[in-house]
Amino acid sequence: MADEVSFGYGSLTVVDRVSIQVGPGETVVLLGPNGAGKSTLVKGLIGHLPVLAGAVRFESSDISKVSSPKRVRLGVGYVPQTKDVFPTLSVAENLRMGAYAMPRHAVRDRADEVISLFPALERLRRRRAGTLSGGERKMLAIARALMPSPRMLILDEPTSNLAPKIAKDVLEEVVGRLASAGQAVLMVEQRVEMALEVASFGYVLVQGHVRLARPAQALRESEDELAELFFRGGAPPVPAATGQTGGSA
Amino acid sequence: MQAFVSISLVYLGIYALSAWSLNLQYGYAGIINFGWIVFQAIGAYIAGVTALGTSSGSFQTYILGARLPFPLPLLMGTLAGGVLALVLGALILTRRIRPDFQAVILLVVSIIAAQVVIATPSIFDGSNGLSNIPKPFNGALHLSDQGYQWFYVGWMAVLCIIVFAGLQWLCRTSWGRALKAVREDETLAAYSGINVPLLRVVVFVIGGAIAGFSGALLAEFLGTWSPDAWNFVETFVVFVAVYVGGRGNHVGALLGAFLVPVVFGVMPSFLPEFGYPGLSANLEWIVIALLWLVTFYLRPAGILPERRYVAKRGGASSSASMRPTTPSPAPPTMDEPRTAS
Amino acid sequence: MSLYLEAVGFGVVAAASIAIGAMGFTLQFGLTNVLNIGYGSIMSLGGLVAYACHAAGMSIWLGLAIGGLSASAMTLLVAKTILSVFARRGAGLFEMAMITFGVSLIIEYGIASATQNNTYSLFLAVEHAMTLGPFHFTKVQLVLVGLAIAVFVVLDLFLRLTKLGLALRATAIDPDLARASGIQTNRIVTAAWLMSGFLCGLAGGVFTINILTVNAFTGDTLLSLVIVSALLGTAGSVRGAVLAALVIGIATQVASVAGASGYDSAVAYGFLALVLLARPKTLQGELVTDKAQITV
Repeated sequence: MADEVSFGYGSLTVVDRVSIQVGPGETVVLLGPNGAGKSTLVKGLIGHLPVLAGAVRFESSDISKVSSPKRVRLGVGYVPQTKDVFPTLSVAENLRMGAYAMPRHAVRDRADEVISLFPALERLRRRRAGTLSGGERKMLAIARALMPSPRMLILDEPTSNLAPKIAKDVLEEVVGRLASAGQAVLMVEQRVEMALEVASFGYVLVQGHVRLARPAQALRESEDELAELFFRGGAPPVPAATGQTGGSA
Repeated sequence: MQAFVSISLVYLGIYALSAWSLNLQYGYAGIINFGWIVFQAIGAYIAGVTALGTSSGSFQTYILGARLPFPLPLLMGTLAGGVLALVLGALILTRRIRPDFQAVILLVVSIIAAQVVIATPSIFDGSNGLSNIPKPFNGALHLSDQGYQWFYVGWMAVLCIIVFAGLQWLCRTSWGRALKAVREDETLAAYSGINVPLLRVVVFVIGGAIAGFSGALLAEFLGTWSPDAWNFVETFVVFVAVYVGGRGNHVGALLGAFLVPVVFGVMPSFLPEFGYPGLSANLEWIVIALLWLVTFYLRPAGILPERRYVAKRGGASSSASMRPTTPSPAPPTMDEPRTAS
Repeated sequence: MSLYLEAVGFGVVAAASIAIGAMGFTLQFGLTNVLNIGYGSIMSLGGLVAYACHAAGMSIWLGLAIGGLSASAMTLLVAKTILSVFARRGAGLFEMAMITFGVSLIIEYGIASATQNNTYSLFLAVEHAMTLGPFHFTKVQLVLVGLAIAVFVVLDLFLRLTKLGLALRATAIDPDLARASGIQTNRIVTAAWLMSGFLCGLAGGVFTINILTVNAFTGDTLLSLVIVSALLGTAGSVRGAVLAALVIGIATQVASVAGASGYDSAVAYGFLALVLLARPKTLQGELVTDKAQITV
């Protein structure tokens, strides 16, 4: 999905020539210490940041210059880490906004479908989103993003601010269910172990570069390497030519 | 011709004081004083009232009234500006209110003040205002009108130099540095032990006093003062002057005071009338507004931006000019971090 | 006593123009977070166009509509050319307000120059006032009040029930999230400018019909009351704006009758200042962000 792409703010390049790929049905997790650029990468993928170098591709077309709303219409869904719902709108209105591009009659049916994935939301339809608990709110946020049936769903730290039990539920129940239903998911996460339980592939980002790109199983067994990267940043990255920074196939 | 030069120079002095006062409050401390003009106004009124004597028997009605000799009315005017700033500052600046709401409150104060003064002639003679305010030294010097104006130019120049030097010194002290710290990052400054509300009120009072001073001087020069002279547009002009000249430094403010109110405000009033009556005044406003927009577009930090002082390793400091690009980092505007909902 | 009741009646009529203006202002402020002081100059424009249409022989009501449309176009023009230029460069909210003031000066003094500083008087057919209980209203006054009510109902329903209305609210709450939900926020903002511009011009026209005179600066008097109402009514709530407009309209008229006519807007302002000082949180509403968001 990302091809040697760079993102940054002003003169600061935060994500430097990163390539990652998410295939249909895959659950890919982005790991890395704080400040690694994971959130920046994800914001760039959804179009909130301009591409400084490289390209963003989706289903073999280059969407680097496409605006965020259009990317959503093309099939990319996004759940931000915070500010993930419209707090003063009701649950039903939030869902309706998620399906903005859909015709009116289709919205109601789709809303019912999505709520069946999150049964707890059923009795909360009329409640203002800002009054929901942490877990309910995150479920609403994901439900909103699912409304237009995106072929790829991007989640930015879905379990931050959630208590461990609820985080487990969100990751296993929600993300797990989505994965087994064939949804392509790209997820940034800090809870490494929990995330690797549900993921199929993982990238480790440190200081704007991809340092590891392996199937989740392999990452689960590389505790020492992960610790090295997370806590000590590892050795400086080798230049791109040797292929160590790339994870694209 | 002589009148043109002398009057322009006097107004330059007045507007320089105005710009310095506002610059201190806004450029240095980040207080958006949208009601600035009311401080100049009260300085003018008090100076007038304390020079005219009591109002009984006069065709004007006003409160207070004393026939104080020079330089007391001037001092009283300055004091009035400072006291008003103290009262308002204590009420408004010590609370945690969004900066833009503070601005609106101050604006509202100046508007209410104007309304009340106009509607209550017993305070300051309503919309007629004060007139026949004695000019300092006039009796003693026996100068012609033009000669007196030149005298006033010299008088203003002396005063301005004193104020300028005082402000420069003030802002170089650690107190001045504390000011800038508060402007850049208020929370951090508070954690460093700076008493932020107190600092703000002190700055506000000094600025208010200088504004009152300028008002007193203007009233003494013109001999009159009425509500026409002080509405919000005047505050706008001074803000534009500070923005165009360069915030956060007194030379910039001086330059702004020259370019905006003097070159585009006072000088054109000497042009011969053309078109229908009032056209040139209208065009003047349009030109000032355009000047503001164009300058802010091309040089958002002003013509003479603030110099950034960078401490070298080892403690010696050097200075580097800040490149005038986007308005940030500028004195705090209405930005407020969005609280997580 | 009946004098006070009559004042309440006048207050309701006065509130008509304030309410329409406040609704438009709230729409703008809510979506863009900019305190648009130029709003007043465009209200003058709306009033003048309505006057000109009437003077040219059209019905005053048609003139109102045309005034609204002209204001709509002018608002969009100013927003797209001047305001978005500065917003894109990251101008802070205070600086944007100063810019709108500059725009207002250019428009008002431009109009003043074009009209040679004239003030125009509107001549409507003289009517007898009808009596409704203790109140006396002319037919025109009733129509103005009815218009304000109609505008409110339509706008409220629009925002609550239509897709575009909901998208407007969503964009006002969180433009990034709106974009991430597939909402084309720059189209939404354009729609907001057009709608609020129309209301702005309409308010100017209604005000002109009410006071029967208009010049380049007519909008200024109305603007202060509009801003006070919009901010008092929770900056971003249409219902709040209307309620506040009603309160302000009635309060100023009653103050007038009570002998304090020179102080009428001082009362309104004083009230605003007190509320801002005492409970600044009440004015945050749904729409507080920290930068102007005029363009996407």
